[in-house]
Parts: sequence; structure tokens; C-alpha cells
Amino acid sequence: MGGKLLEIKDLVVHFFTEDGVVKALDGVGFHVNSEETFALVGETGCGKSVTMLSVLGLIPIPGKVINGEVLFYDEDLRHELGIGGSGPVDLLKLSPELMNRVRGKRISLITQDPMTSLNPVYTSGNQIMEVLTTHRGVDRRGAESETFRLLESVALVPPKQIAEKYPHQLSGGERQRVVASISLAASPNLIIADEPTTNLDVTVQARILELLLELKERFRTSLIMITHDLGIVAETSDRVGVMYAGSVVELSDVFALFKEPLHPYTKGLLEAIPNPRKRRKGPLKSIPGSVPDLIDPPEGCRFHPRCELASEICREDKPELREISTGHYVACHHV
Amino acid sequence: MALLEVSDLRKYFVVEKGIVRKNRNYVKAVDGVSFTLDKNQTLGIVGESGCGKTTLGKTVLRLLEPDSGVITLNVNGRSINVLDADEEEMRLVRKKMQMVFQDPQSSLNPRMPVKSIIGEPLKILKIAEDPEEREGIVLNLLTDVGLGKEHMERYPHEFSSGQRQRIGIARALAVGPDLIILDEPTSSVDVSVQAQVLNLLKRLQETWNMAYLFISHDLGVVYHMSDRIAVMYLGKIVEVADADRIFDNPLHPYTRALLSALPFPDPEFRGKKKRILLEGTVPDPINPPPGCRFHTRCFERKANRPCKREEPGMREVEKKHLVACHNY
Repeated sequence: MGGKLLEIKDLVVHFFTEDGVVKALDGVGFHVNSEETFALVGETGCGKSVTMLSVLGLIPIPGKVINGEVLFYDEDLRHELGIGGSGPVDLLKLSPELMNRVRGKRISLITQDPMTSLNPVYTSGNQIMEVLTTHRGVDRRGAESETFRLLESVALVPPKQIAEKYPHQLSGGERQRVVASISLAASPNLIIADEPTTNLDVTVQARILELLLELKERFRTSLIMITHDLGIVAETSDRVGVMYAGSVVELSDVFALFKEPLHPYTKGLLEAIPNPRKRRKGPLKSIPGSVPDLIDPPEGCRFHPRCELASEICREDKPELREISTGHYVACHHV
Repeated sequence: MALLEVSDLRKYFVVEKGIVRKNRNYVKAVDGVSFTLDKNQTLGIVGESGCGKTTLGKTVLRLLEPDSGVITLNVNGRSINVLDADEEEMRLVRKKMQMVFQDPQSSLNPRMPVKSIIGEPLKILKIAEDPEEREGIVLNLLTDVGLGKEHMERYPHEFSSGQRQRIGIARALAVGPDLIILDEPTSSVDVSVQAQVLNLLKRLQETWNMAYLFISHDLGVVYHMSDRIAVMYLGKIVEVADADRIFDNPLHPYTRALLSALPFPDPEFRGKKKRILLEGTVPDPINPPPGCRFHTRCFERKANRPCKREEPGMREVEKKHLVACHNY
């Protein structure tokens, strides 16, 4: 595992809707090392997908990045994009044209629903070739053989037949494999997988997860796994960021997080899932209430209305991430 | 005597293709399913999408009319043949057997206030015809599921999905059922809310003395809720046993694959269990494979067994542990 590849600093994103300003991200910060799998976990609406869309410069209208930096550490990138200076590149400062050359090439995305991320009127082969010709300047003949090679690497065989099929002719698992091969086509440094298996059955999910990890090793990329499923986090990731209502509340090595969760929210989540291994059938620990409305989020720590430890300071002051032990950060006044 | 006995239940859906020459096919969604459910017990039905678990739930309640089979419900010592029930008997069946649906958004009438949604079954089944009496019952039910008086006049859209599922549960409880069919009751809510709903269901089961037929694709949730678990594949039950037995000693190759695919929320287990990766996908239910329906993906198929030709029947391999596989 190498040094830093991506670093997000104090990212604030708001959505200006008719009902009011949705404060979706409230100072998100973490980094991802090269060749590691980083999991971003949290419940619906916590901002995990918005965080990744900001990295890709794909925040939809009426969303806006208000503050923050997304630093990409790659020595060649400045040269490749023809921008001067030195040090990491702040992706948020790149023009749309330059960002087009980063997206798909350096960072690629695997979305939750392959049916909507694939174009229904092009064959799967066509869609892979498009990436090759756009980002790698390969000619058509070369692109075709490379497409077959990519399809083989995601275990879609025979590749020639699969390449001729349209998305609707493929099963859910096969579609997600095609998306995976597209994401690999330009040999990116980072793949972001946003709930890549949420629509799939567990037996198919197992195969896709296995495949993603294998590809990550083989192609030496980093992988950001966005998920709500702590089981997937436990089985795939090296490091984890836990998000709640627009902030990262805990950041840690995966083993430390499951062994010694520090934030009350993380603890609550871990105890809320039925775990057949533990043979415990008594009441599950549940977190009272539900996720707050981000138009009018709670003052101070956004978790305080649902937290049993909440005190005066939690209602007034937003806790910052602090390092408790090496590499294990938590944002809580009571740790 | 068991509360509910289902035997050889079948539900086929007709699919027609072609405009001039009609080509009739059948999707065998539920194809010969039998099980029994005792009083105050929970039977979990688990399987992947398209295995027929939701159709099974709806057919048991006759929300879908089955093609064949026998469903017997025992009410106060009286056996009712659900499929032959007359109007009066059917009313009794509805009082004793209720359902909570997967998606509370579409199963609650958006134009009705909560008060009427929960009061409706009381009115229709003539349990409380006086509006004031009804309102009192509804209020008690709301309190039971963790909501309150202030929610009586509100409409479904004013609630979170967890709260909506509570309303669906209160509506099912209203008639005082002996059995509730729960179809993926927590698949639309987040984990922290899921725990609230599961805890509520367990508490209600104890206080109201009810049996549950708990349908879900989530093995962890099914394990947590169930006394016994039935695993479905392509319209059939392939294995039934006590929940602990299913996890300790799964016999059917499909059950084993399903369990091994389940991600465990503990990184210490990573790499320590052998993962069985199934080849291919679930076959088309219009044209299921002959013999054992799982044989096309089975990793334990033996050449000397009739897997490709003969459909395996359910056999009791150990006490109360039934499996449909030629290997046992």
C-alpha cells in the first residue's frame, strides 16, 4: 500500500432547493491511500454519494460546492493536463474540459444501477470501446481486441458474443461486470463503486465483490466502496469512514472499527444488525428516532438528538475529528 | 394441531406471446409448496428475487387465487379449508390472517388519514361499527406500535418510511389476528430503523400471541426472527429446519451457497470461510430445468444420482430437518 492518492478537505456542499437549502455535506474530510480499499458507510441521505459525486465534479443542479478541496496526488497529472506548478491537483479547481480528461481516465465510477449507467441503444462492446478511443487514443482494431481482453478479465465469456449484446440482453450481474470493465478500460488510479451490489441477489453480490477486489489487486488501483452494508465493509475494506448527516464521524482501520467502535453512532449501527454468528436473538439495539432533515439540521453535533450520551456541549459545539489512537479518528465530545 | 397447514400449493401465471398465434406459457411462481406453521411460531421464508416467496405469501392469504393445493387454517379448534371457504368463513379467515406489505408507501391509501387506514378493517369485518369505539381501538393500536394520538389525523406522506411500516403493522393488528404474513417488512428502511421495527415485531408477537410467516431475502434478519426457516429456490422449498440447524448444518447445496455468500459484519472472519460461488444465474421460471431445478448450478451433482431426470422429494433427513436433494 502506498501513500496518499486522494484527499478530501473540509468539503461543504449545499443543494439550493425550493424548500430551502439542504446542507448535504458539512465539512467532510478523509484521505484514501493508493492501492487500498476504502469504505464509506452510512445510511440513506448521509452524504456518501454526494461526497463521491463532488470528487468527480458531477454534483447535479441545484447542488453547489461551497467550500473544500479534493486533492489528487499523482505526479504525472499536472504534466498530462498541461497545467504548471507542483504538488497535488485540486480537482475542484479544474475546468470542465480538464475534468473530462480526469473522469473515466484517472477516476472511474461504478454506479448502483447498471441499467441506468449503460446506454440502452449501444452494445456493451461499443461502450467499452468508446472509453478506449477517448482516453487511450487506441484505433478501432486495437480497441476491439482490448475490449475482448477486458471482458475476459471480468469473466464474461465468450467476449465476442457479450460485446455484441445490448444491456437489456444481459442479466443484472452481467451488466455490472460490463460496467466494471468500462471502469477499468482506461486503467484508472481510482475506482469509485457506489453501492455496486445493492440491486443484486446475495449469491451474485458475492461474485461481484470478489471480482472487484481481484481486479483492484490485478490492476493496482484504489477502490472506494460506498455502501450501507456493514457486512460488505467488513469483508472488503482496509480502512473505513462512517458518515452521518453530512459528516465523517469516525475514520479507522477496518479491524479497529469493528473491534472497538468509538462513536455512539457506529456502535449503534453495529449492534443494530442481526448477526447470526453471535447467536443472539434478544432485542437488537436500535438507535431511537430517524435521520434529521438536512434543511434544518440539529445545531452542534448532528447526532445529538439520537444520542444517549448527549450533553450541553453536544448541542452547541460541532465536534471535530480527533485522533484517539494511531489512524483511528472520531468526532465526538464524549470519547 | 398446527395453526396453518399448506400442502402442495401451486400458483402459475400465464404469459402470452405473439399477436396472431398466441403462445401460452406459464411462470411457475409457486410450484408445489408444503409447510406447517404452529401457534406463536415464526417460519422464515428466504430466497433470492424471483424464487416465488412473495407470491407464496399472497397466495396463502388468497390475495392471489392459487391454481391448486390445500390451505387449512385452524381457528379456535375449527379447521377451515381456506380455498373452499364460503363468505362467512372467509371473513373469519381475514380476521385471523393478516398481511404487512413490503412497501408501506404503496400499501397505505394516500388519501386516508391514519385513523381511517387502521379503522378500515375494523369497520369492514364488523368488529367495531361505532365510530367512537373504533377511534379508541385505533388509538390503542397506535400506542402499541410506538405512535401516538397526534398521528391520528395525519396522512401517510407525513411519515417516515419506518413510521409508515408501523402504521401497516397496526392495521394488520387491528382485527386481532393469529397469524401475520410479513413480506420483506424492513427492506425499505435503514439498519437503525430496521432494528426498531424488528424489535417491535418481536414484542408484539409475545403480547398478542401471534404466529408470523416472515418473508425476506436477508438471511441475517430471517435468522433473527424465525424459529424455523424454509429456503426457496425457483418456486419450491428446498430445505426446512430450525433456524439454528440451517446455520449450523445446512444440507442443500443451495442453502450452503446462500449462507456462504452472506457477508458477515466482522472483518476477523474475512478469508476464513470457504466461499461457494455459484455458476450462472437463476434459470427462467417459464422453463425450469427438468429433474432437480438446482442441478444446472449445483456444485455437488453426482453422476450416479438422477439429478437431471428426477425431481427430488422432501425427505426428513434428521428430526425436523427436511431437504429436497438426491444426495441425502
